[in-house]
Amino acid sequence: MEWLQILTSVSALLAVIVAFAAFMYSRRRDTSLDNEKRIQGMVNSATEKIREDFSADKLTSADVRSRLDRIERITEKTVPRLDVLEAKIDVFWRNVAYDAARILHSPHPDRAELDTLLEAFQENKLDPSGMKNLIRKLEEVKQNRNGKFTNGDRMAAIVLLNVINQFEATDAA
Amino acid sequence: MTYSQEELDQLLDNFRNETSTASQLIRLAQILSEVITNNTEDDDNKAIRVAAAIILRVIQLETGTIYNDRN
Repeated sequence: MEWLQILTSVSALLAVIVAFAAFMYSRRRDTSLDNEKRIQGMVNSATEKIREDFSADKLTSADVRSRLDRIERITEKTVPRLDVLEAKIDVFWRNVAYDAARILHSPHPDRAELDTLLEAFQENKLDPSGMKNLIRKLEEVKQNRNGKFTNGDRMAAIVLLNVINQFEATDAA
Repeated sequence: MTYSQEELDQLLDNFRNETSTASQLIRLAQILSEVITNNTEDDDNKAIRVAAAIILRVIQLETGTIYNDRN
């Protein structure tokens, strides 16, 4: 039974990995509905034999060992690809944040403090205290209580805030 | 400006419908780069530039040409 539980857990992990990889690689050309169907199909196909054998109660420990080995081989190939995808998505958002910071930058005396923080952010030189100040200033732009920021300023600030929050959450995890 | 609004709209339509050819994607990327650096005092300018930047980054991601700009 313990083998079956392990196999079930590893199969579920594999299904998630396959589904995620399928989603990332097919997103370019397919609609979200197509993606959903494709992912469902891949997961169903990948787990069909296992599900059948579970229902028929005809798995032997040799079967389990063989399938675990197979899953391990597939996982060894898939995980590095996921690392590459993760790195690309990370670069994507960092570049979007860099663009937003550059666009929000506005050499105006009233905005000198924000500009200094944005420059430090773009040069990757912000310490935790500076980052906190930048987040505070971006919140001010987002709220726009004094009405001195344009919608474009607010849009850039919101994008930047979201990316910063996302990376702070990732770093904290 | 090296493009017309009509050309940009057509390229964006193709991109949105996921029917762009490789050369259309390259052209769209060129135009978006131009939009991003076109800094005017217009109220909508920054919003348009942010949108252009995000679309350009998506194109780079999908075509495998995204690199860390800070390096």
